[in-house]
Amino acid sequence: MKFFLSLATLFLVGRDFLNGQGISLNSNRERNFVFEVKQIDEFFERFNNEKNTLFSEYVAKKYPGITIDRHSLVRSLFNRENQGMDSADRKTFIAQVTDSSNPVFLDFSSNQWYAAIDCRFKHLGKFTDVALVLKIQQESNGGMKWVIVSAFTPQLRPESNTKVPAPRPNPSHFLNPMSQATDFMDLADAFDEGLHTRDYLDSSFYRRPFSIAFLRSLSRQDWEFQYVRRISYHFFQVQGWEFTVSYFQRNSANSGWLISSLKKVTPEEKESLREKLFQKSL
Amino acid sequence: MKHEPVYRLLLLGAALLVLGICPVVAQDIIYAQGSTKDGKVTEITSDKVIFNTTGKKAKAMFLPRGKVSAAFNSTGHFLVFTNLPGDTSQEHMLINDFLNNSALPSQDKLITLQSQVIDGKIDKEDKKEISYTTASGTKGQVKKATLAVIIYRNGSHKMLESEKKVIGPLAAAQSLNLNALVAGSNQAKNTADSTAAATAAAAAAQKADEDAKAAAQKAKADAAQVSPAPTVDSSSMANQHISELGDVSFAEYEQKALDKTQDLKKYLALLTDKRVDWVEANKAIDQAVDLFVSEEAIVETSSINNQTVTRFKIRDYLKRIKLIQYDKVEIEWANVHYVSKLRKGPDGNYYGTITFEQTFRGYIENKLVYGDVTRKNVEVILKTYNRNVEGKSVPTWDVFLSQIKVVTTKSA
Repeated sequence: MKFFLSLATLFLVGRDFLNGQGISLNSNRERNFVFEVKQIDEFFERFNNEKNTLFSEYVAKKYPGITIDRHSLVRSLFNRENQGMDSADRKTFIAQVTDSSNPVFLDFSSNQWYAAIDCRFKHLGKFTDVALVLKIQQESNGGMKWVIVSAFTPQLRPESNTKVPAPRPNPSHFLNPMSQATDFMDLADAFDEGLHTRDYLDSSFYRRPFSIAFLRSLSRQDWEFQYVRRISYHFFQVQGWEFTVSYFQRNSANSGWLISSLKKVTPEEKESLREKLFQKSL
Repeated sequence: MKHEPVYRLLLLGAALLVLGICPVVAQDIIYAQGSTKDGKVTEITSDKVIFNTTGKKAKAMFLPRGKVSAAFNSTGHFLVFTNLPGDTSQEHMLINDFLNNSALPSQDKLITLQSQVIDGKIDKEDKKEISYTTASGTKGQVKKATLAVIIYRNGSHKMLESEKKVIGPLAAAQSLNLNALVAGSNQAKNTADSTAAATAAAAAAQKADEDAKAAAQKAKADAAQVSPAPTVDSSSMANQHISELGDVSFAEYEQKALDKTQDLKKYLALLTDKRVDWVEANKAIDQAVDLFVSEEAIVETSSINNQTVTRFKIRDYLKRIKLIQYDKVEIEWANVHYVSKLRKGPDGNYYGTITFEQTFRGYIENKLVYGDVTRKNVEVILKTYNRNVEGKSVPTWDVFLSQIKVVTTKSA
């Protein structure tokens, strides 16, 4: 049976319309679960149009007349409710990354994307937020882990690194490369009494005055990790662009981890944005 | 009541938006196709926005709803008509809040053209920049050129761009408002459910005090969560192979991971069955813990409705589940699940995740005493090791459950 619907239509139309086309949906909840970009890993899968995914197999089974094309997939990864985003920029970006002669794909193992995590701590009896930035680091055995690149809280003044211990060689504690799927809940271990915190730090952490201030303050054991409040991901992998991916919880096919902002940038602007990210001013 | 169309009056207000910048206003104002209309909105129907005009000759009028893009009331609450949710109950929730919520906002709200919403207290505002402090004490500055709307704590608002450019960011802020309203509604419902649950539980088991019961009951509900995903057709990335293990395919890993979650479900069912004695229940706990990579595996629960996060080691979590038992439990699965790729860690193990949803309902004396819908992200670890087979060391592998993140998305 053929349905004359495009993939884009699937993301745009509602359940009633689909039912009207004779497409039997198991439930709206099921459809939204499949269509939602549930994990940032799924964002990579769709951006790169990977095969044999939950989404591609579901569409193949439920909507056999529809072919998944990368252009539609990438377009579906934008937050549709953000009408403030420049549509011309969005079109240019999609055209660039899906250009068949020179396509651009995202690389999970790249160090050109970051997780920006707002963590709730208790500091001297008061709840305080600390902004952490993490990136993926590849190891000599081919494995990967998340490392903390920077920490920022306006509660502390920036400090120099003259008295900070050197990075710990051969660290035994780490955030595994799927920590993002459980909202980095293992960060609780990283800050547990500050015993192993240095195992989780990237070498660049020690070059950032705000990060050093936080590390020194941690050593006084007056910070108590509570939980992760918010996560967003910042991608610097596409030449000429920086974009942010945020989580949108709603009862819609256009939900989950979606592009919340897109900036056209020069190389200099990209570096400036990266530094601002480390100081929580992006 | 008869209402008069006001197209002609809109023309009078159009000049206000010609430059795309509005003055600070502290009254209900309706934005419609580049024009504005002042008044007090009294009713919003499926096709009309009805309002009373102000001044000496005040009278009831209406605008066709399709012509209205947004409206602000005098206490800073707003509606973006072009982006109201399709869900009728959620739409009514937003409309009711707009019409009836007379409380002034506790913080100033800065909405950027990039649809970011900053809640805080404005410390300083000049022509080009705003300095603010968030509730958590974070200080920041934002350039006015990047802002779409400012909503002040006194209920007034300022649009810094044209209606066309502002609507998108405002819609994003409306989505956040809706989340907060839904969260508040669910929280109220949960409170009611918890009260009923505690009462019923006290009657069923008189030994424990009500607070302990309520906590354990919630823990149990969260746990049944952990249960397994369905055995359906959602294998993902079937072509991924693990080189160190020769023929181990993604499908094999996936099946074994799902088998483990299925086993966990069986043990959880035992723990929630009041007919099972404690000796048997303790044995089920031991067997369930064996599914995990270690006793240190953590279950973290949270809710989109509030910021409460609880963490338990897996054995403690299971013990809490054992404390309260329902007469009847219903567990429904969305019949799809997401299984992530495996990624190798620094320790040589492979890490993956299974995501699925579950609806849980617990009954005591045929009364629903607790129900929720939860999203479970279960981390799984594929460990490789050598096994001695007839004197030879043979590489093999197994899958273990690890950290579990449970998010309650709504009451069932």
